[in-house]
Amino acid sequence: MENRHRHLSASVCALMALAILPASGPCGAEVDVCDESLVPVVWPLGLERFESRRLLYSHAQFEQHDSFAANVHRGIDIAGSRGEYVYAVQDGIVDYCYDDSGSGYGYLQVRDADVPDGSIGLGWKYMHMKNFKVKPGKTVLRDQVLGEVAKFPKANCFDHVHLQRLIGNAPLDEYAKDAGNALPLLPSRADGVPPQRKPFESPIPTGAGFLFYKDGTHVVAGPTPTAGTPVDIVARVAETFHGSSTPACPIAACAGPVGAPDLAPMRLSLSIFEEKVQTSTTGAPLRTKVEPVFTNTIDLRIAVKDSAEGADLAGRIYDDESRGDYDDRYLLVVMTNCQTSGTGAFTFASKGKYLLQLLLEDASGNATSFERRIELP
Amino acid sequence: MPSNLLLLALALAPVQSNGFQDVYVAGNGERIAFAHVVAELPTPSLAVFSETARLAVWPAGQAAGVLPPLAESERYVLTPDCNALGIVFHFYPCLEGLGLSRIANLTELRLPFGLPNGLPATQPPLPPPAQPIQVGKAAWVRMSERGNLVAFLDAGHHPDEPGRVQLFRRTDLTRAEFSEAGNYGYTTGGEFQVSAEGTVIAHAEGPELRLITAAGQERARLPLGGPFFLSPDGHWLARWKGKKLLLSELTDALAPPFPERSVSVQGSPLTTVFEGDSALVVTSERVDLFSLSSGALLWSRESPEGAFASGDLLTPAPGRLLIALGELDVLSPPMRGTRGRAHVSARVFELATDELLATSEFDVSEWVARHPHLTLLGRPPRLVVTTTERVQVSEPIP
Repeated sequence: MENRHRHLSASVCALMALAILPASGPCGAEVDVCDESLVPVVWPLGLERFESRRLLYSHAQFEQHDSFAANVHRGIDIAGSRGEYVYAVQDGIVDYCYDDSGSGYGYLQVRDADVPDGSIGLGWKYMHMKNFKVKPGKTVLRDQVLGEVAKFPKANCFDHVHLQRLIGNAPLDEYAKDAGNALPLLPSRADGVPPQRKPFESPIPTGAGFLFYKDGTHVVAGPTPTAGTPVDIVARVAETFHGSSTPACPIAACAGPVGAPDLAPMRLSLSIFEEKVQTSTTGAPLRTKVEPVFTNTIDLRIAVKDSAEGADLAGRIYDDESRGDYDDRYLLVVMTNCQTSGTGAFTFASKGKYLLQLLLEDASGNATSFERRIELP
Repeated sequence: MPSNLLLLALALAPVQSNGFQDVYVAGNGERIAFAHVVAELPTPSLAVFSETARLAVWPAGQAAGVLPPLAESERYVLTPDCNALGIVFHFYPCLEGLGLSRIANLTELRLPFGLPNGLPATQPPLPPPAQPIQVGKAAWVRMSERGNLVAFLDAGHHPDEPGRVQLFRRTDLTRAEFSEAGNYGYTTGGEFQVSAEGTVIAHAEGPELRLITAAGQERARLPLGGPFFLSPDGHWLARWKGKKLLLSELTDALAPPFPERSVSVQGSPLTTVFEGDSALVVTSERVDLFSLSSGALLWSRESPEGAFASGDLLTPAPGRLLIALGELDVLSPPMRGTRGRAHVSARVFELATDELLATSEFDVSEWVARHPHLTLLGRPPRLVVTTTERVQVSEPIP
C-alpha cells in the first residue's frame, strides 16, 4: 500500500476497513485496518484506485460532530458529479433497486456473489443514484456500471454516493468505529422513536478536505464552432474542491501538493471523429461511418490552488459556475505541467457531425472515456 | 400487416441523441408529442418533439422546440393536449450551520408547445407570475402526470430524518395556477408515488405504505414488502409481498379495508401497468396480464434470459386491448472504461387474437434498466419506443 495510506487519520483507516472486508463474512478477530497487505476493493467512482480526496463523511466523522447523524449514517460518502458512472466494487447479485431519480435517494442493494437467494449474507448498498443500468435478480461484475450519481436532495452536502456494507438489510459499518467488533448493529431507530433533529453542526473536520467534482473530466468545445473557423478545443480535468470557509484551512491537507501520490500523473487523449451517414439510393440512412480527424495526447498533473490568491499554476482556473450561490471560498484544482501545444487550434473542415472522445488514463493503465457529439451548422 | 413491413416503417426517421434522459409522452386522438431532457445540450434542456399523422414537423428528428435550460430542480409534464407544463424550482441559500438550505419558490410556467394543425407553436413561454407560490424549504418536487397536483418534499439530510410534504392543487385546468391543498409529515425517505390524476398519494414509510389524499390526510396504512404501483386513476394499488402480488381496489374515500386479490408472480418485479380492468405485471422473466375484477390470468409471455424491461396497454376501441412488451437484452455490460452493448426490442400484441401487430428492434450502447420506455397512444394507435439514444414512433398500428 502506498505511503499515503499511512498518513490517513484513524477514522479514514477505519473507513478503508469498510472497503477491504473479505467477501466471505465478518472478521471475528481484530483487523489491522491499515495492514499494507490488505487490498482494497475497487473504488466505485472514477478510476478504480482509492481516492482519499473524494471521501466526504465517515461514520466516525459524523459521530464526532453530530451525534444524531452518527446514529443514522452507517457508511461512507464518496464525492461524485451528477451523472458520473457508479461502478460495482465487487461481484454480486442485485437484490433490490429503488429507481427514484427525482428524489436523490435512489439506491441499489447488491448481495455478494456467494450469498444464496433468500439468505442473509453480506452485500453492498449504493445510494443517491439514478438511471440504474441493472435490474433486480441480475448478476453484476466488479467494475460494471451500475448507474449514475444523482443530485443530492439537500444543499448541505454535495452530490455523492453513499456506500454501505450490509449484512442482510442491516448496515455493517460499525467497523468504521471498531474494526475488531464484528457484531453488526441494527439501525438505532429500531425502537421506533423518531429522532429529534439537531442543528447541523460543522461536518468538516479541521484541516480536512471537503470536495466535489464539478464536471469530472470532459471535453469543452468552443461556444459555437463553425466549419472553416479555427476553434480552441481544450481537454481538461475539472475538479473543484469546496474548502472550509476558515481561511486557515491548509491547502496541503486538503489535497496535497503537486506530485502527491493521490495526484499521480495522468494522460489525456483527445480524439475527434467525423461522423458520416451513408445513405441508400432512396436517401434512407444505412449506417454511420466514423473517421478520425484529430488526435492529441496530454500528460498532466493536478495541483491545488486557493482561488482567493488569484493566478493559477498553468494559466487556467476553472470557476465553479454551478455553485455560484455559495459564498464560501473555493479551493480550485488546476492543471499544471500541461503540454497544451497542439490542442489550441483545430479547424473543422466541413459542417456535419463530430464525435469528441476523451480518454483519461492513469499510470496503471486504468482508463475512463468520455464522449460528446457536436453538430456544426 | 406483416411485421417485416412494419419493421421498415418503424425505422423511418428516428430521433437520435446520446443524451436522452427523462422522457415524457402524451397525446390525444390527433397528435402525439414527446419530450426528453437532453443532457448533451450545453446545459440540460427539455426538447419537445411532435408527431402527427402527417409527420409534418418531424421529418428529420428535429425538436419542435427546446425549453429553457433546466434549473436545479424542475419537473415537466405533457398534458393530453400536447402542451408542456413546467414547474420550476428556485433555490436560495441560507446558512444552517456550515451547510446551506434551499428555500424554494414554485413558479408556474405555461409552455405553449401546443401543436395546432400539427405545427409547433412559436411563441415563447409565458413569463412567471408576479407572485410565485412560497413553498418554503424543500428538497425535491413531484408532479402528477396530468399536472394537477404538485408535491414538494422537505427531505432530511439522510432518509431517516423527519420531513414534510407540501401539496399544491391546480385550481384551473385551463391555466397553470396552483393553490396549497395541504401537507403532512413523514419520517423516512421512502418511495413516493402520486396517481396520474393527482387524487391519491402512496408514500412508503418503513415497512408500511401510507395512503394519503390530495389534501394531505392519511387514510390508511398497509403492510409493504416490496415495490408498489398506483393505477393512473388512483383506484387500484399493486404491491408485492414475497412471491405474491396483492391487487387492492381503493375506494374513493380511501377507507380500508380494501377488496383485495392475490396473484402469484415469478421473477423480480419491475412494473405494473393498469388499463381498464387489466393489469400487466412485468418481471424480468415473465409478463402476465391479469383481470382486476376476477384475478384471472388472461395472457402471459416468458423470457428465459430475463430480458423483459417494460410494458404498456391501450384500449383503442371497446373490447380491444393492445399489449406492448419491451425487452432489453444486454449483450455486453458497460464496464469501467468500456462501453456496453444491448439489443432493444418492442412488440405489440392483440389480446383477443394473440397476433403480433408490430415490432421494432435496434442496438444501443447507452441505456438504463427500465428501457425501452414504451407508450401506446393515439387513434389509430402508435407505439413510441424511447431509449437513451433513440426515439421511434411507429406507423399507425392496424
